[in-house]
Amino acid sequence: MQFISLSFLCFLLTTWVLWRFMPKERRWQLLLTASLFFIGFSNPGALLVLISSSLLTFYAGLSIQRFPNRRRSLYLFSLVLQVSCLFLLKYIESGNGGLYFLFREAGFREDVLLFAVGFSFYTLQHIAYLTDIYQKRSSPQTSALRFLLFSSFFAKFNAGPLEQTNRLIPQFNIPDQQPAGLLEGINRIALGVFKKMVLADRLAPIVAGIFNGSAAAGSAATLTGVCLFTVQLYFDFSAYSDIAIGSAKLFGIELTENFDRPFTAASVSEFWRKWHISLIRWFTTSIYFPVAFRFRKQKYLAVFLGIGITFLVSGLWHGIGKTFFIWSLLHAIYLSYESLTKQTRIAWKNRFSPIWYNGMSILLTFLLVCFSNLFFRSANLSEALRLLRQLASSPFGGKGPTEGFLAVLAGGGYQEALFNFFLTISLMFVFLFLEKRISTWIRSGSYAFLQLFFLLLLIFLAGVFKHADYFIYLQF
Amino acid sequence: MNEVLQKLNEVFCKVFLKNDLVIHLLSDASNIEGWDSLTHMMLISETEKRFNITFTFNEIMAFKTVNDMVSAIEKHLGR
Repeated sequence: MQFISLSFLCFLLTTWVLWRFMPKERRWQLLLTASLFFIGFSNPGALLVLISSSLLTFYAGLSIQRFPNRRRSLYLFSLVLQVSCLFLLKYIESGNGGLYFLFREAGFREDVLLFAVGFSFYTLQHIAYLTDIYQKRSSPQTSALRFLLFSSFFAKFNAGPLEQTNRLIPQFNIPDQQPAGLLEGINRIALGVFKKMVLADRLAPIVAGIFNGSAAAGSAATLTGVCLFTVQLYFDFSAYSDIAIGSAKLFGIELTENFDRPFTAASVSEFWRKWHISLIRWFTTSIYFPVAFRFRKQKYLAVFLGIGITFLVSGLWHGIGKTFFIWSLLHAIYLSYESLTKQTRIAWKNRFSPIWYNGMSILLTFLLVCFSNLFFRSANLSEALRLLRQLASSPFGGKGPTEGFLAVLAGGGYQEALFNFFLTISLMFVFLFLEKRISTWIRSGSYAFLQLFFLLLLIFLAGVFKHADYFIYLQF
Repeated sequence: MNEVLQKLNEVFCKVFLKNDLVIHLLSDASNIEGWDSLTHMMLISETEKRFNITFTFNEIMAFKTVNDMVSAIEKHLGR
Protein backbone atom coordinates (compact mmCIF):
# COMPACT_ATOMS: atom_id res chain seq x y z
CA MET A 1 0.00 0.00 0.00
CA GLN A 2 1.62 3.25 -1.13
CA PHE A 3 1.61 6.18 1.31
CA ILE A 4 0.31 8.56 -1.36
CA SER A 5 -2.78 6.68 -2.45
CA LEU A 6 -6.51 6.69 -1.87
CA SER A 7 -6.27 3.24 -0.28
CA PHE A 8 -3.77 4.51 2.33
CA LEU A 9 -5.94 7.54 3.08
CA CYS A 10 -8.97 5.26 3.65
CA PHE A 11 -6.82 2.89 5.71
CA LEU A 12 -5.48 5.72 7.87
CA LEU A 13 -8.90 7.29 8.44
CA THR A 14 -10.58 3.98 9.30
CA THR A 15 -7.76 2.94 11.63
CA TRP A 16 -7.77 6.30 13.40
CA VAL A 17 -11.58 6.32 13.91
CA LEU A 18 -11.50 2.75 15.27
CA TRP A 19 -8.47 3.59 17.44
CA ARG A 20 -10.19 6.70 18.85
CA PHE A 21 -13.25 4.75 19.99
CA MET A 22 -11.37 1.65 21.12
CA PRO A 23 -10.89 1.09 24.90
CA LYS A 24 -7.51 2.60 25.71
CA GLU A 25 -5.90 -0.61 26.97
CA ARG A 26 -6.72 -2.41 23.71
CA ARG A 27 -5.56 0.25 21.28
CA TRP A 28 -2.20 -1.41 20.68
CA GLN A 29 -4.03 -4.55 19.53
CA LEU A 30 -5.89 -2.50 16.95
CA LEU A 31 -2.61 -0.99 15.75
CA LEU A 32 -1.19 -4.52 15.40
CA THR A 33 -4.21 -5.73 13.39
CA ALA A 34 -4.08 -2.62 11.19
CA SER A 35 -0.34 -3.01 10.63
CA LEU A 36 -0.66 -6.67 9.63
CA PHE A 37 -3.49 -5.71 7.26
CA PHE A 38 -1.36 -2.89 5.82
CA ILE A 39 1.42 -5.37 5.00
CA GLY A 40 -0.73 -8.31 3.92
CA PHE A 41 -3.06 -6.17 1.80
CA SER A 42 -0.64 -5.94 -1.08
CA ASN A 43 1.88 -8.60 -0.21
CA PRO A 44 0.83 -11.70 1.77
CA GLY A 45 4.32 -13.16 1.27
CA ALA A 46 5.89 -10.23 3.13
CA LEU A 47 3.50 -10.82 6.03
CA LEU A 48 4.59 -14.44 6.34
CA VAL A 49 8.27 -13.50 6.34
CA LEU A 50 7.68 -10.67 8.84
CA ILE A 51 5.85 -12.88 11.35
CA SER A 52 8.47 -15.65 11.09
CA SER A 53 11.36 -13.23 11.45
CA SER A 54 9.76 -11.36 14.37
CA LEU A 55 8.91 -14.50 16.32
CA LEU A 56 12.38 -15.92 15.72
CA THR A 57 13.95 -12.69 16.99
CA PHE A 58 11.61 -12.49 19.98
CA TYR A 59 12.31 -16.06 21.16
CA ALA A 60 16.03 -15.74 20.36
CA GLY A 61 16.11 -12.66 22.62
CA LEU A 62 14.45 -14.55 25.47
CA SER A 63 16.72 -17.58 24.99
CA ILE A 64 19.90 -15.47 25.00
CA GLN A 65 18.97 -14.23 28.46
CA ARG A 66 17.58 -17.54 29.72
CA PHE A 67 20.52 -19.77 28.71
CA PRO A 68 23.74 -17.95 29.71
CA ASN A 69 25.95 -20.89 28.64
CA ARG A 70 24.60 -20.86 25.12
CA ARG A 71 24.06 -17.13 24.68
CA ARG A 72 27.00 -16.67 22.29
CA SER A 73 25.98 -19.52 19.97
CA LEU A 74 22.31 -18.47 20.10
CA TYR A 75 23.20 -14.88 19.25
CA LEU A 76 25.54 -15.86 16.42
CA PHE A 77 23.04 -18.35 14.99
CA SER A 78 20.26 -15.72 14.96
CA LEU A 79 22.58 -13.12 13.51
CA VAL A 80 23.83 -15.38 10.71
CA LEU A 81 20.25 -16.42 9.90
CA GLN A 82 19.00 -12.83 9.71
CA VAL A 83 21.95 -11.62 7.64
CA SER A 84 21.73 -14.63 5.28
CA CYS A 85 18.01 -14.04 4.74
CA LEU A 86 18.66 -10.35 4.14
CA PHE A 87 21.19 -11.00 1.39
CA LEU A 88 19.24 -13.90 -0.07
CA LEU A 89 16.05 -11.85 -0.32
CA LYS A 90 17.87 -8.81 -1.65
CA TYR A 91 19.43 -11.07 -4.26
CA ILE A 92 15.99 -12.41 -5.17
CA GLU A 93 14.67 -8.89 -5.41
CA SER A 94 17.47 -7.72 -7.64
CA GLY A 95 16.38 -10.35 -10.15
CA ASN A 96 19.89 -11.29 -11.18
CA GLY A 97 19.04 -14.94 -11.58
CA GLY A 98 19.94 -17.57 -9.00
CA LEU A 99 17.21 -18.28 -6.51
CA TYR A 100 14.86 -15.78 -8.12
CA PHE A 101 15.16 -17.62 -11.43
CA LEU A 102 14.51 -20.99 -9.76
CA PHE A 103 11.41 -19.70 -7.95
CA ARG A 104 10.05 -18.12 -11.13
CA GLU A 105 10.67 -21.29 -13.12
CA ALA A 106 8.84 -23.24 -10.42
CA GLY A 107 5.75 -21.15 -11.15
CA PHE A 108 5.84 -18.52 -8.39
CA ARG A 109 4.27 -15.20 -9.37
CA GLU A 110 6.75 -12.31 -9.47
CA ASP A 111 4.71 -10.09 -7.14
CA VAL A 112 4.64 -12.84 -4.52
CA LEU A 113 8.40 -13.08 -4.85
CA LEU A 114 8.81 -9.52 -3.63
CA PHE A 115 9.14 -10.78 -0.07
CA ALA A 116 11.81 -8.28 0.75
CA VAL A 117 9.54 -5.22 1.00
CA GLY A 118 10.38 -3.68 4.35
CA PHE A 119 12.50 -6.70 5.23
CA SER A 120 15.82 -4.92 5.12
CA PHE A 121 14.56 -2.25 7.52
CA TYR A 122 13.03 -4.43 10.20
CA THR A 123 15.90 -6.92 9.97
CA LEU A 124 18.32 -4.15 10.99
CA GLN A 125 16.07 -3.38 13.96
CA HIS A 126 15.98 -7.08 14.90
CA ILE A 127 19.78 -7.33 14.73
CA ALA A 128 20.16 -4.24 16.96
CA TYR A 129 17.61 -5.68 19.41
CA LEU A 130 19.47 -9.00 19.73
CA THR A 131 22.85 -7.27 19.98
CA ASP A 132 21.62 -5.06 22.83
CA ILE A 133 20.41 -8.14 24.71
CA TYR A 134 23.59 -10.11 23.98
CA GLN A 135 25.78 -7.24 25.17
CA LYS A 136 23.52 -6.81 28.22
CA ARG A 137 22.54 -3.27 27.38
CA SER A 138 18.84 -4.11 27.56
CA SER A 139 16.44 -6.87 28.60
CA PRO A 140 14.31 -8.88 26.16
CA GLN A 141 10.68 -7.93 25.59
CA THR A 142 8.15 -10.13 27.33
CA SER A 143 5.19 -9.87 24.94
CA ALA A 144 5.49 -11.52 21.53
CA LEU A 145 2.54 -9.57 20.13
CA ARG A 146 3.87 -6.19 21.24
CA PHE A 147 7.21 -7.13 19.69
CA LEU A 148 5.37 -8.04 16.48
CA LEU A 149 3.75 -4.60 16.54
CA PHE A 150 7.18 -3.04 17.01
CA SER A 151 8.39 -4.85 13.86
CA SER A 152 5.28 -4.31 11.79
CA PHE A 153 4.04 -0.83 12.83
CA PHE A 154 2.65 0.40 9.52
CA ALA A 155 3.98 3.96 9.72
CA LYS A 156 7.60 2.83 9.70
CA PHE A 157 7.36 -0.64 8.14
CA ASN A 158 8.44 -0.02 4.55
CA ALA A 159 11.42 2.28 4.94
CA GLY A 160 11.86 3.32 8.57
CA PRO A 161 12.73 5.40 10.55
CA LEU A 162 14.61 2.63 12.34
CA GLU A 163 13.48 2.45 15.95
CA GLN A 164 14.61 0.80 19.18
CA THR A 165 12.24 -1.39 21.18
CA ASN A 166 12.91 0.55 24.40
CA ARG A 167 11.85 3.78 22.75
CA LEU A 168 8.88 2.60 20.68
CA ILE A 169 7.12 -0.15 22.64
CA PRO A 170 6.39 1.98 25.75
CA GLN A 171 4.65 4.46 23.45
CA PHE A 172 2.08 1.83 22.42
CA ASN A 173 0.69 2.23 25.95
CA ILE A 174 0.18 5.99 25.65
CA PRO A 175 -3.57 6.17 25.23
CA ASP A 176 -4.38 9.83 24.63
CA GLN A 177 -3.65 12.14 21.78
CA GLN A 178 -3.94 15.88 22.27
CA PRO A 179 -5.77 17.84 19.53
CA ALA A 180 -2.60 19.90 18.88
CA GLY A 181 -0.63 16.70 18.23
CA LEU A 182 -3.33 15.49 15.90
CA LEU A 183 -3.22 18.66 13.82
CA GLU A 184 0.57 18.57 13.79
CA GLY A 185 0.40 15.00 12.49
CA ILE A 186 -2.02 15.95 9.71
CA ASN A 187 0.14 18.90 8.69
CA ARG A 188 3.27 16.79 8.77
CA ILE A 189 1.60 14.33 6.38
CA ALA A 190 0.54 17.25 4.14
CA LEU A 191 4.13 18.54 4.18
CA GLY A 192 5.35 15.10 3.09
CA VAL A 193 2.81 14.92 0.27
CA PHE A 194 3.86 18.43 -0.81
CA LYS A 195 7.57 17.50 -0.84
CA LYS A 196 6.83 14.34 -2.83
CA MET A 197 4.25 15.55 -5.35
CA VAL A 198 5.34 19.14 -5.84
CA LEU A 199 9.11 18.91 -5.45
CA ALA A 200 10.47 15.34 -5.83
CA ASP A 201 8.17 14.21 -8.64
CA ARG A 202 8.71 17.47 -10.52
CA LEU A 203 12.48 17.03 -10.32
CA ALA A 204 12.25 13.34 -11.33
CA PRO A 205 11.86 13.83 -15.14
CA ILE A 206 14.67 16.43 -15.26
CA VAL A 207 17.00 14.01 -13.46
CA ALA A 208 15.84 11.00 -15.50
CA GLY A 209 16.56 12.86 -18.76
CA ILE A 210 20.21 13.27 -17.76
CA PHE A 211 20.75 9.83 -16.19
CA ASN A 212 18.92 7.84 -18.85
CA GLY A 213 20.82 9.61 -21.59
CA SER A 214 17.67 10.52 -23.48
CA ALA A 215 19.08 14.03 -23.93
CA ALA A 216 22.56 14.72 -25.35
CA ALA A 217 23.91 16.85 -22.52
CA GLY A 218 27.06 18.93 -22.08
CA SER A 219 28.87 19.35 -18.77
CA ALA A 220 26.64 22.19 -17.47
CA ALA A 221 23.38 20.28 -17.93
CA THR A 222 24.93 17.03 -16.63
CA LEU A 223 26.29 18.74 -13.51
CA THR A 224 22.89 20.32 -12.89
CA GLY A 225 21.11 16.97 -13.40
CA VAL A 226 23.51 15.16 -11.07
CA CYS A 227 23.09 17.84 -8.37
CA LEU A 228 19.31 17.83 -8.80
CA PHE A 229 19.25 14.07 -8.22
CA THR A 230 20.62 14.55 -4.69
CA VAL A 231 17.96 17.19 -4.04
CA GLN A 232 15.27 14.90 -5.51
CA LEU A 233 16.45 12.02 -3.33
CA TYR A 234 16.30 14.26 -0.27
CA PHE A 235 12.78 15.51 -1.01
CA ASP A 236 11.60 12.01 -1.89
CA PHE A 237 12.96 10.28 1.19
CA SER A 238 12.30 13.09 3.67
CA ALA A 239 8.73 13.22 2.27
CA TYR A 240 8.37 9.53 3.07
CA SER A 241 9.74 10.16 6.58
CA ASP A 242 7.38 13.15 7.09
CA ILE A 243 4.36 10.99 6.18
CA ALA A 244 5.60 8.19 8.44
CA ILE A 245 6.23 10.54 11.38
CA GLY A 246 2.94 12.39 10.79
CA SER A 247 0.93 9.14 10.55
CA ALA A 248 2.44 7.84 13.81
CA LYS A 249 1.71 11.19 15.48
CA LEU A 250 -2.01 10.71 14.78
CA PHE A 251 -1.83 7.79 17.21
CA GLY A 252 0.26 9.66 19.79
CA ILE A 253 3.49 7.93 18.75
CA GLU A 254 6.72 9.87 18.21
CA LEU A 255 9.05 8.34 15.63
CA THR A 256 12.72 9.32 15.27
CA GLU A 257 13.44 12.32 13.05
CA ASN A 258 15.35 11.11 10.00
CA PHE A 259 16.63 14.36 8.46
CA ASP A 260 17.97 17.65 9.80
CA ARG A 261 18.50 19.96 6.80
CA PRO A 262 21.45 17.97 5.38
CA PHE A 263 22.35 20.56 2.74
CA THR A 264 23.55 22.92 5.47
CA ALA A 265 26.31 20.45 6.43
CA ALA A 266 29.82 21.91 6.25
CA SER A 267 31.55 18.52 6.09
CA VAL A 268 30.67 15.02 4.90
CA SER A 269 30.75 13.71 8.48
CA GLU A 270 28.27 16.44 9.45
CA PHE A 271 26.18 15.51 6.39
CA TRP A 272 25.91 11.95 7.70
CA ARG A 273 24.69 13.26 11.04
CA LYS A 274 21.86 15.02 9.21
CA TRP A 275 20.90 12.47 6.51
CA HIS A 276 18.93 9.28 7.20
CA ILE A 277 19.79 9.76 10.86
CA SER A 278 18.20 6.55 12.17
CA LEU A 279 20.06 4.32 9.69
CA ILE A 280 23.39 6.08 10.25
CA ARG A 281 22.91 5.68 14.01
CA TRP A 282 22.39 1.95 13.42
CA PHE A 283 25.56 1.66 11.31
CA THR A 284 27.58 3.72 13.81
CA THR A 285 26.43 1.70 16.82
CA SER A 286 26.38 -1.75 15.22
CA ILE A 287 29.40 -1.65 12.92
CA TYR A 288 31.63 1.42 13.26
CA PHE A 289 32.02 1.43 17.06
CA PRO A 290 32.59 -2.35 17.49
CA VAL A 291 35.26 -2.35 14.75
CA ALA A 292 36.94 0.88 15.89
CA PHE A 293 36.81 -0.27 19.54
CA ARG A 294 38.50 -3.56 18.73
CA PHE A 295 41.38 -1.84 16.93
CA ARG A 296 41.46 1.33 19.07
CA LYS A 297 45.14 0.93 20.03
CA GLN A 298 46.02 1.45 16.37
CA LYS A 299 44.43 4.96 16.47
CA TYR A 300 43.94 6.19 12.88
CA LEU A 301 43.93 2.64 11.51
CA ALA A 302 41.00 1.88 13.84
CA VAL A 303 39.06 4.84 12.47
CA PHE A 304 39.87 3.99 8.83
CA LEU A 305 38.92 0.33 9.32
CA GLY A 306 35.72 1.33 11.09
CA ILE A 307 34.74 3.77 8.34
CA GLY A 308 35.75 1.38 5.53
CA ILE A 309 33.83 -1.62 6.86
CA THR A 310 30.80 0.52 7.78
CA PHE A 311 30.47 1.95 4.29
CA LEU A 312 31.22 -1.37 2.64
CA VAL A 313 28.27 -2.89 4.53
CA SER A 314 26.15 0.21 3.83
CA GLY A 315 26.93 -0.08 0.10
CA LEU A 316 26.02 -3.80 0.13
CA TRP A 317 22.83 -3.02 2.04
CA HIS A 318 21.79 -0.51 -0.63
CA GLY A 319 22.51 -2.92 -3.46
CA ILE A 320 24.91 -5.42 -4.95
CA GLY A 321 26.91 -3.87 -7.76
CA LYS A 322 30.01 -1.94 -8.78
CA THR A 323 28.25 1.44 -8.60
CA PHE A 324 27.24 0.95 -4.95
CA PHE A 325 30.77 -0.22 -4.17
CA ILE A 326 32.23 2.97 -5.69
CA TRP A 327 29.67 5.05 -3.78
CA SER A 328 30.70 3.45 -0.48
CA LEU A 329 34.42 3.72 -1.33
CA LEU A 330 34.05 7.45 -2.06
CA HIS A 331 32.38 8.09 1.29
CA ALA A 332 35.03 6.03 3.10
CA ILE A 333 37.69 8.21 1.45
CA TYR A 334 35.85 11.46 2.26
CA LEU A 335 35.43 10.55 5.93
CA SER A 336 38.96 9.17 6.34
CA TYR A 337 40.34 12.41 4.87
CA GLU A 338 38.15 14.46 7.21
CA SER A 339 39.28 12.38 10.17
CA LEU A 340 42.94 12.95 9.29
CA THR A 341 42.57 16.69 8.72
CA LYS A 342 40.00 17.55 11.38
CA GLN A 343 42.25 19.73 13.52
CA THR A 344 43.84 21.43 10.51
CA ARG A 345 40.37 22.31 9.23
CA ILE A 346 39.36 23.72 12.61
CA ALA A 347 42.52 25.88 12.52
CA TRP A 348 41.66 27.08 8.98
CA LYS A 349 38.16 27.88 10.09
CA ASN A 350 39.49 30.10 12.84
CA ARG A 351 41.94 31.78 10.47
CA PHE A 352 39.52 32.70 7.66
CA SER A 353 36.25 34.59 7.71
CA PRO A 354 33.72 32.10 9.19
CA ILE A 355 31.02 33.09 6.68
CA TRP A 356 33.24 32.43 3.67
CA TYR A 357 34.79 29.32 5.15
CA ASN A 358 31.42 27.84 6.08
CA GLY A 359 29.87 28.82 2.75
CA MET A 360 32.68 27.20 0.76
CA SER A 361 32.60 24.11 3.01
CA ILE A 362 28.85 23.70 2.53
CA LEU A 363 29.21 24.03 -1.26
CA LEU A 364 32.13 21.59 -1.39
CA THR A 365 30.30 19.07 0.82
CA PHE A 366 27.22 19.27 -1.40
CA LEU A 367 29.29 18.72 -4.55
CA LEU A 368 31.15 15.76 -3.02
CA VAL A 369 27.88 14.13 -1.98
CA CYS A 370 26.39 14.78 -5.45
CA PHE A 371 29.45 13.23 -7.07
CA SER A 372 29.06 10.05 -5.01
CA ASN A 373 25.34 9.99 -5.79
CA LEU A 374 26.16 9.94 -9.50
CA PHE A 375 27.22 6.32 -8.87
CA PHE A 376 24.33 5.70 -6.45
CA ARG A 377 21.74 6.64 -9.10
CA SER A 378 23.43 5.13 -12.18
CA ALA A 379 21.90 1.84 -13.28
CA ASN A 380 25.33 0.41 -14.06
CA LEU A 381 28.98 1.35 -14.39
CA SER A 382 28.77 2.20 -18.10
CA GLU A 383 26.02 4.75 -17.38
CA ALA A 384 28.16 6.30 -14.64
CA LEU A 385 31.17 6.44 -16.98
CA ARG A 386 29.06 8.11 -19.70
CA LEU A 387 28.00 10.76 -17.17
CA LEU A 388 31.64 11.30 -16.14
CA ARG A 389 32.58 11.78 -19.82
CA GLN A 390 29.73 14.26 -20.18
CA LEU A 391 30.98 16.15 -17.10
CA ALA A 392 34.37 16.51 -18.81
CA SER A 393 32.87 17.70 -22.10
CA SER A 394 32.17 21.29 -23.25
CA PRO A 395 29.61 23.20 -21.10
CA PHE A 396 26.77 23.19 -23.63
CA GLY A 397 27.74 20.23 -25.84
CA GLY A 398 28.90 22.52 -28.67
CA LYS A 399 25.58 24.37 -28.81
CA GLY A 400 24.27 27.63 -27.37
CA PRO A 401 23.10 27.95 -23.73
CA THR A 402 19.43 27.76 -24.69
CA GLU A 403 19.72 24.65 -26.83
CA GLY A 404 22.61 23.00 -24.96
CA PHE A 405 21.41 23.65 -21.42
CA LEU A 406 17.81 24.79 -21.01
CA ALA A 407 16.36 22.60 -23.75
CA VAL A 408 18.20 19.54 -22.38
CA LEU A 409 16.94 20.00 -18.83
CA ALA A 410 13.49 21.31 -19.71
CA GLY A 411 12.39 18.43 -21.93
CA GLY A 412 12.99 20.05 -25.33
CA GLY A 413 12.67 23.68 -24.22
CA TYR A 414 9.11 24.22 -25.40
CA GLN A 415 7.17 26.98 -23.68
CA GLU A 416 5.20 24.73 -21.32
CA ALA A 417 8.24 22.60 -20.47
CA LEU A 418 10.31 25.73 -19.77
CA PHE A 419 7.59 27.10 -17.52
CA ASN A 420 7.47 23.83 -15.61
CA PHE A 421 11.25 23.75 -15.31
CA PHE A 422 11.50 27.28 -13.90
CA LEU A 423 8.54 26.69 -11.60
CA THR A 424 10.18 23.52 -10.24
CA ILE A 425 13.57 25.16 -9.70
CA SER A 426 11.98 28.23 -8.08
CA LEU A 427 9.87 26.12 -5.72
CA MET A 428 12.90 24.04 -4.86
CA PHE A 429 15.08 27.04 -3.95
CA VAL A 430 12.29 28.78 -2.04
CA PHE A 431 11.63 25.62 -0.03
CA LEU A 432 15.31 24.93 0.67
CA PHE A 433 15.94 28.51 1.83
CA LEU A 434 12.84 28.60 4.00
CA GLU A 435 12.98 24.97 5.16
CA LYS A 436 13.94 25.73 8.76
CA ARG A 437 11.14 28.28 9.11
CA ILE A 438 8.61 26.00 7.40
CA SER A 439 9.51 23.05 9.66
CA THR A 440 9.35 25.21 12.79
CA TRP A 441 6.04 26.69 11.65
CA ILE A 442 4.51 23.27 10.95
CA ARG A 443 5.67 21.92 14.32
CA SER A 444 4.55 25.01 16.24
CA GLY A 445 0.91 24.13 15.59
CA SER A 446 -0.08 27.80 15.34
CA TYR A 447 -2.43 28.57 12.44
CA ALA A 448 -2.70 24.82 11.85
CA PHE A 449 -5.73 25.02 9.58
CA LEU A 450 -4.16 27.83 7.55
CA GLN A 451 -0.99 25.75 7.12
CA LEU A 452 -2.99 22.77 5.94
CA PHE A 453 -5.02 24.88 3.52
CA PHE A 454 -1.85 26.48 2.12
CA LEU A 455 -0.09 23.13 1.63
CA LEU A 456 -3.14 21.51 0.02
CA LEU A 457 -3.54 24.50 -2.30
CA LEU A 458 0.09 24.21 -3.41
CA ILE A 459 -0.30 20.46 -3.92
CA PHE A 460 -3.38 20.92 -6.10
CA LEU A 461 -1.87 23.81 -8.05
CA ALA A 462 1.66 22.52 -8.58
CA GLY A 463 1.57 18.79 -7.74
CA VAL A 464 2.33 16.00 -10.19
CA PHE A 465 -0.71 13.75 -10.40
CA LYS A 466 -0.22 11.93 -13.67
CA HIS A 467 3.10 10.24 -13.04
CA ALA A 468 3.34 9.94 -9.27
CA ASP A 469 6.46 7.83 -8.75
CA TYR A 470 7.16 5.26 -6.08
CA PHE A 471 9.28 6.43 -3.19
CA ILE A 472 12.89 5.83 -4.20
CA TYR A 473 13.92 4.30 -0.86
CA LEU A 474 11.29 1.55 -1.00
CA GLN A 475 13.63 -0.40 -3.28
CA PHE A 476 16.15 -0.78 -0.45
CA MET B 1 38.90 20.52 39.39
CA ASN B 2 39.50 17.00 40.72
CA GLU B 3 42.56 15.01 39.78
CA VAL B 4 40.80 12.70 37.30
CA LEU B 5 39.12 15.61 35.53
CA GLN B 6 42.42 17.47 35.37
CA LYS B 7 44.24 14.52 33.80
CA LEU B 8 41.32 13.93 31.45
CA ASN B 9 41.50 17.58 30.43
CA GLU B 10 45.11 16.99 29.36
CA VAL B 11 43.97 14.03 27.24
CA PHE B 12 41.32 16.20 25.56
CA CYS B 13 43.93 18.92 24.88
CA LYS B 14 46.21 16.31 23.28
CA VAL B 15 43.51 14.66 21.13
CA PHE B 16 41.89 17.90 19.99
CA LEU B 17 45.28 19.65 19.58
CA LYS B 18 44.09 22.59 21.63
CA ASN B 19 46.19 23.55 24.66
CA ASP B 20 43.66 26.03 26.04
CA LEU B 21 40.73 23.59 25.97
CA VAL B 22 38.91 23.45 29.31
CA ILE B 23 36.41 20.66 29.94
CA HIS B 24 33.70 20.47 32.59
CA LEU B 25 31.70 17.57 33.91
CA LEU B 26 28.75 18.55 31.75
CA SER B 27 30.82 19.03 28.58
CA ASP B 28 29.65 16.86 25.69
CA ALA B 29 29.96 16.51 21.91
CA SER B 30 27.73 19.53 21.37
CA ASN B 31 30.06 21.98 23.10
CA ILE B 32 33.48 20.56 22.26
CA GLU B 33 34.28 21.27 18.63
CA GLY B 34 35.47 18.21 16.75
CA TRP B 35 34.19 15.61 19.23
CA ASP B 36 32.33 13.10 17.08
CA SER B 37 32.33 9.37 16.41
CA LEU B 38 35.59 9.70 14.45
CA THR B 39 37.54 11.37 17.29
CA HIS B 40 35.71 9.51 20.06
CA MET B 41 37.78 6.35 19.66
CA MET B 42 41.05 8.34 19.70
CA LEU B 43 39.86 9.90 22.94
CA ILE B 44 39.07 6.47 24.41
CA SER B 45 42.44 5.07 23.40
CA GLU B 46 44.38 8.05 24.84
CA THR B 47 42.34 8.00 28.05
CA GLU B 48 43.02 4.28 28.55
CA LYS B 49 46.73 4.91 28.04
CA ARG B 50 46.84 7.92 30.37
CA PHE B 51 45.05 6.17 33.25
CA ASN B 52 46.35 2.66 32.45
CA ILE B 53 42.85 1.20 32.37
CA THR B 54 40.71 -0.69 29.83
CA PHE B 55 37.12 0.32 29.20
CA THR B 56 34.46 -2.20 28.24
CA PHE B 57 32.49 -1.74 25.02
CA ASN B 58 29.29 -1.06 26.96
CA GLU B 59 31.01 1.65 28.96
CA ILE B 60 32.16 3.56 25.90
CA MET B 61 28.71 3.20 24.31
CA ALA B 62 27.19 4.84 27.39
CA PHE B 63 29.55 7.86 27.37
CA LYS B 64 27.48 10.95 26.67
CA THR B 65 29.24 13.55 28.80
CA VAL B 66 32.63 14.11 30.42
CA ASN B 67 30.96 13.18 33.71
CA ASP B 68 30.21 9.67 32.35
CA MET B 69 33.88 9.28 31.45
CA VAL B 70 35.07 10.53 34.86
CA SER B 71 32.70 8.14 36.66
CA ALA B 72 33.92 5.16 34.59
CA ILE B 73 37.58 6.09 35.16
CA GLU B 74 37.05 6.44 38.91
CA LYS B 75 35.32 3.05 38.95
CA HIS B 76 38.30 1.44 37.21
CA LEU B 77 40.71 3.17 39.58
CA GLY B 78 38.70 1.83 42.51
CA ARG B 79 37.75 5.27 43.87
